[in-house]
Amino acid sequence: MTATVDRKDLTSAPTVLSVRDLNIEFWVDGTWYPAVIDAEFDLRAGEVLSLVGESGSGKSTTAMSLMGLLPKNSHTSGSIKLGDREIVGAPQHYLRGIRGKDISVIFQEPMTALNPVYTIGFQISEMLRSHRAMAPHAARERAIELLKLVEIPDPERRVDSYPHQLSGGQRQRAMIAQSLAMDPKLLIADEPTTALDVTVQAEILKLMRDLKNRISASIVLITHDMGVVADMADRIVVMKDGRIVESGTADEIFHRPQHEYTRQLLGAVPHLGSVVADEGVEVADDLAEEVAEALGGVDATGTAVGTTVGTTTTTGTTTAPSSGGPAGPADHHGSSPVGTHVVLPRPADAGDPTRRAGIQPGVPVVVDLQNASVEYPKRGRTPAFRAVSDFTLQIGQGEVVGLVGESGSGKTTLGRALVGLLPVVEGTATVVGTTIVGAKNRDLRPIRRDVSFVFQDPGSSLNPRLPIGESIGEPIMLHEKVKGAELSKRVEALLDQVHLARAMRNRYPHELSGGQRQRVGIARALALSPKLLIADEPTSALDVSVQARVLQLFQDLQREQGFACLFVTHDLAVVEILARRIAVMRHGRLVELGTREQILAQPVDDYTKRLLAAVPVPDPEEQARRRHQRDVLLAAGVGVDEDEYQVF
Amino acid sequence: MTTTRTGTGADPQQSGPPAPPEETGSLEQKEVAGLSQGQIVRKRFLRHKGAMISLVVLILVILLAATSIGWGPIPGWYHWKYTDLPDPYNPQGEPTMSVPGLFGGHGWAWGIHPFGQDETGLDLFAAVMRGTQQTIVVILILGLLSTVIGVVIGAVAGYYRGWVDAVLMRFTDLIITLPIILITAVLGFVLNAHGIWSVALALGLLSWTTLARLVRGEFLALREREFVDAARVAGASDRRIIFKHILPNTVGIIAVNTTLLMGAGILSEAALSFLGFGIRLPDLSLGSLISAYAQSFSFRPWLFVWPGIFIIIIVLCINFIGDGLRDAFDPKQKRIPKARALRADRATSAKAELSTHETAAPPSPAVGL
Repeated sequence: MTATVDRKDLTSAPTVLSVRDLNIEFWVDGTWYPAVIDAEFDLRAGEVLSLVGESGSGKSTTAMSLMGLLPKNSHTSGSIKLGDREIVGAPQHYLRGIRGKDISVIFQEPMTALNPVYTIGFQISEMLRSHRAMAPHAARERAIELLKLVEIPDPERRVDSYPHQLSGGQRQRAMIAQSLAMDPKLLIADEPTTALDVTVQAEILKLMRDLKNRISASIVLITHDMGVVADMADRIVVMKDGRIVESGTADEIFHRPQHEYTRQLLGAVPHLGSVVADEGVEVADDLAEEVAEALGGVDATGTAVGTTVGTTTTTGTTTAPSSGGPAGPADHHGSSPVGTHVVLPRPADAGDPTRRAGIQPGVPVVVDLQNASVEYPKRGRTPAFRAVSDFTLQIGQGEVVGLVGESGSGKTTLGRALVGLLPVVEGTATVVGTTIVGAKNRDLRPIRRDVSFVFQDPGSSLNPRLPIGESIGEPIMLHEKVKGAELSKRVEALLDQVHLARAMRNRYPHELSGGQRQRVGIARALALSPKLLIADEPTSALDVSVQARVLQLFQDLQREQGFACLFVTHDLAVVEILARRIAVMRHGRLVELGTREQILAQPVDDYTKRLLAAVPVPDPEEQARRRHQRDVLLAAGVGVDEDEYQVF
Repeated sequence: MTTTRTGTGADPQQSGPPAPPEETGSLEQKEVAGLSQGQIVRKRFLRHKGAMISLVVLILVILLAATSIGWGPIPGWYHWKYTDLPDPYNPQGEPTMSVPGLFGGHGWAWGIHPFGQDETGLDLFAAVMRGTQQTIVVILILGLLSTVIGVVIGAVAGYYRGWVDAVLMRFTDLIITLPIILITAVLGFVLNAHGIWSVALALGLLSWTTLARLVRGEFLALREREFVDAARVAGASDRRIIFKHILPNTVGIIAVNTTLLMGAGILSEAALSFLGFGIRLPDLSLGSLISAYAQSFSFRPWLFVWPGIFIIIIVLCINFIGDGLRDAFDPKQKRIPKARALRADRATSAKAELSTHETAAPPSPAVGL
C-alpha cells in the first residue's frame, strides 16, 4: 500500500527534501515493530510542511530520521534525500556535518533542550564554532546578531544569560536562534509551542513565520495542534499508526479531507466559538479593529485582511462568519465590510469585570471564596510566595465554572487550595460548608469526602506501584471502611461508569494508554460521589481525539451526577464546551468573570481579549484573519505588561 | 529474507505500537477478580525463578546447619561437635569426602571427616555448620535491624522535611562518624554481652546510615509527585502515604542496599571476631573460620574453601531474593522471554512484515542486535 502523495506543487521552488519508501522499525522485546511505513513526501524551499498525527503515529520518528538521530534499536530503509545527499545509511561523521549546518531542530521543551550550566551565548557559539573555524569574539558577535534576529530584547546582555534566567518564550527564541546559527536549509520544529502559553505561542509562531520568509528555510513542523497547523502549514501530511493516510495542501486537508481519519481528527478538535455559535453568539474577534481604530494608522492591515476574508466562503467545520457586528444572532450571516464596522459597545463597562455574572439565584453555594489569598508556605530561607491574592468566586451546586489563565497565573494553585493541598491564608473560603482558612489536615478529613480532584498528568498522579483497581478503591476504603467483595463491586461499577473494562483493574498505570489513565483518574475522583470536583487541566496531556472522548465522558458524568466543578484549563476552546461561567486569571488575580457568552463575545478586560485573540483556530483562512488581528493587538501592546520583557 | 512466506493472512496483527501492553489478553481475562497490591506482589515474587530457587537453597542450608550438629533444642545427627578435637584421621587432615572428578576423588564416599580437619583435629564440617548458624543469625538480625531503622528514619526525614529532617539527618551524620568496630567492642564490654547477639545488635544498630540517606533522598523526590497529592485528596493519613504509597516505590534501592549490607556484614563480623570481640573460640562463625585459616590456603586449601563456599551460597541466595523482591514490587519489570521464544517471535513478526509489505524491502533482523 502506498500512501497518496500530493505532487501538485505550490511553487516551482527547488526540492529541499525528498523522502521515498521510508520504513522505520524498532526492535522491542524481541520483535520488530514498524513505526513508519512507506512514508513519501517532498519539501520545497521556503515551504512549511506539517506532520500531523496523534502520539505514536510516527511523526516524531520520521522527523528524527531526517537527521539520522534514531536510537540503536531502529532500522531505517528507503531513501531520504537532502538536496542530492542521501541520509539513510550515511556514516555518522557525514551526518554530523549535516546536523546543525543543513538541518537543525527546534525542540519541544526549551528548558530541557538548552544546557542549564552554559549561557545561551555560549551554546550558540558552540554550534557556530563546531562547524566552522571562528574566533570566540566573532562567534559571540554572531550570537548577538542571531538573538537580535529572533527579537530578544537587549541581546547584548541576554547573550550572557543562563537558560533559567529567561522566560519560556525567550528560551524558545534562544533555541530558535541556535538552530538558525548555520543558516540551515531545513528546520525541524518538533512541537515548538506545545510547552508554551497561548499568547507566547502566538508570538513564537509569528516569529517563525517572519523568519521563514527572511531566511528562506523550509520547515518541517510536527504538532498535534490543528490550530497551529492552520496557522503555519503550506502542506500537511496526516499520519496514523506509522502510515501517511493523507497529504495535501492546507486548504485541501482542512476543507476537503478525503480520508476518514483526517475527518475524525478535525472533528475532534475543539473549535473556539463553535458551542456559543450554536446559541447564536459569536466569539469576539474584531478587537483588532477596535484597537486599530483607536490607534489609527495600523488599521490598514486589519481592513485588508478583513476584506479578503469577507469574500471567502467557508465550509466544513467553520462556523462563525468572519466579522459580524455587535448585533449578534440577527446579523449572523451578514459579513459586513470592515470599513463600516462600529466599535463594540461595552455592556458591562460601568461594572466590575470580575462580577459580570454570579451563580444562578436559588442554587445552594458549594464554593464561596471572598477575597481569598493562597500562599506557598515558606521553606527554610525561601519566603512564602503568594500565588493567589484577593480572589472572589462562588460556585453553585451542579455548576461548571471554567478557570482560564496562563501558566504561573495561579489557577492550579487555586484548585489545590480548594482541596486543602495549599493553605488559604486570607479572606474567607468555604467549601461544601466547611471553612478551610487556617484548617488543619485533620479538619479537612470531612471535606475530602465531598471534594475530589482530577490531576493534569494521569501518568504521575497514579501511584506506579499500585494496581489501578486499588487506586480507584482507595477513597472508598478510607472513608467508608468498605473492604473485600463489596469494595470490589464498587470498583467495578466505577470502571463501568468510565467505560473501562473490568479486567483492567489489576493493571499498573504504565500499562494503560494516556486516555485510559485519565479515565482512571476520573473514576477515582468520582468514587465517593463528590459534591465538588476540581479538574486541573485533565485533558491537556491527551491527544485531540482522546481529549474529545474524555470531555464527552466528563460531560455525561457531570450531567448524571450533578456535581459542581471547577475546570482549570489554559484552553479556551475546551472550557467553552463545558463551562457555564468562565473566570479569567492573571498574576494570581481574577481579571474577569462572566458567563461563557459574555467572556467569549464581549470580553471587557484587555487581557481576556488578548487571550482570545491568541487561540489558534483549526481553519487556515479564519486563522489567517485572526492572526493579523492578533498581530495588531500585539503591536498595540494590548494586555501586555511592561515588565514582561524586563531583564532580570 | 530469512523466512519463507507461509500462512499469509494467518496473522491478522498488521502493525502494533512500539511497546504493546495488550499482549497478555488471555491472562487478563482470567484475572477479573480484583487483586490487592500485596497479592500481586506475592504472586510475582513466587513466579520469580531465581528468588524461589535461592529461597529453597537458603532454607536447605539453614536446615542442614540446624540439624547436623544441632541448634538449641534441635538434636544433631552428626557424630562430631565443633568443640570436639579428635586425632587427625588423614595425616594432614584431608577431607574423607570423595566425589568423582573433584580434588582427585575416586567414587562416592562420605567418610568420618567429610570436610577434613585442621591441625588441632577440629572437624571442619561441624565447624562450618556452626559457623553457618552463627553467620545467619548475624546477618538476619543485622539486615532486619538496619532495614527497619534506616527505612523509618529515612522515610520520616524525607517525608516531613523541615526540622524533623534536620534533627534526624544530623543524628545520622553522628552515627556515620562513629567507628563501627570500636563501638561494637565498647558495647560488648559495657553490656558485658559476649557472642553472636551483641555483635549482631551492635552492627545492626550502626549500619543503617547509608540506607537512611538513600531512602530520604527517594522520599524527597517522591513526595513531590502528584500521586502523593492524589492520595492526600483521597483522605489518606500520613502513615498510609508513607508506608503504602511511597515506600513500595523505594523497594528497589532498599533491596539492593540491604543485600549488599548483609554481604558486608559477614566480613564485619569476621573482622570483629578477629579482633577478639564478639564470637570467641571455641565458638565459630564463617568469617572467623576464613580469617583463621587464611594462611593455610596453600597447604590445607579445604580449610579455606569450605567456609568460603558457604559464605558465597548464603550471600548469593540473599542477593537473588533481594532481586526477586525488587522485581516483584516493580511493575515495569518484564520477564525476558527465552532465546527460543524470541526467535519464534521474530519469525512471526517477519511474517507480519511480509504480509503488510508488498513492495518494501524486507527487514533485516540482524540490525540493531
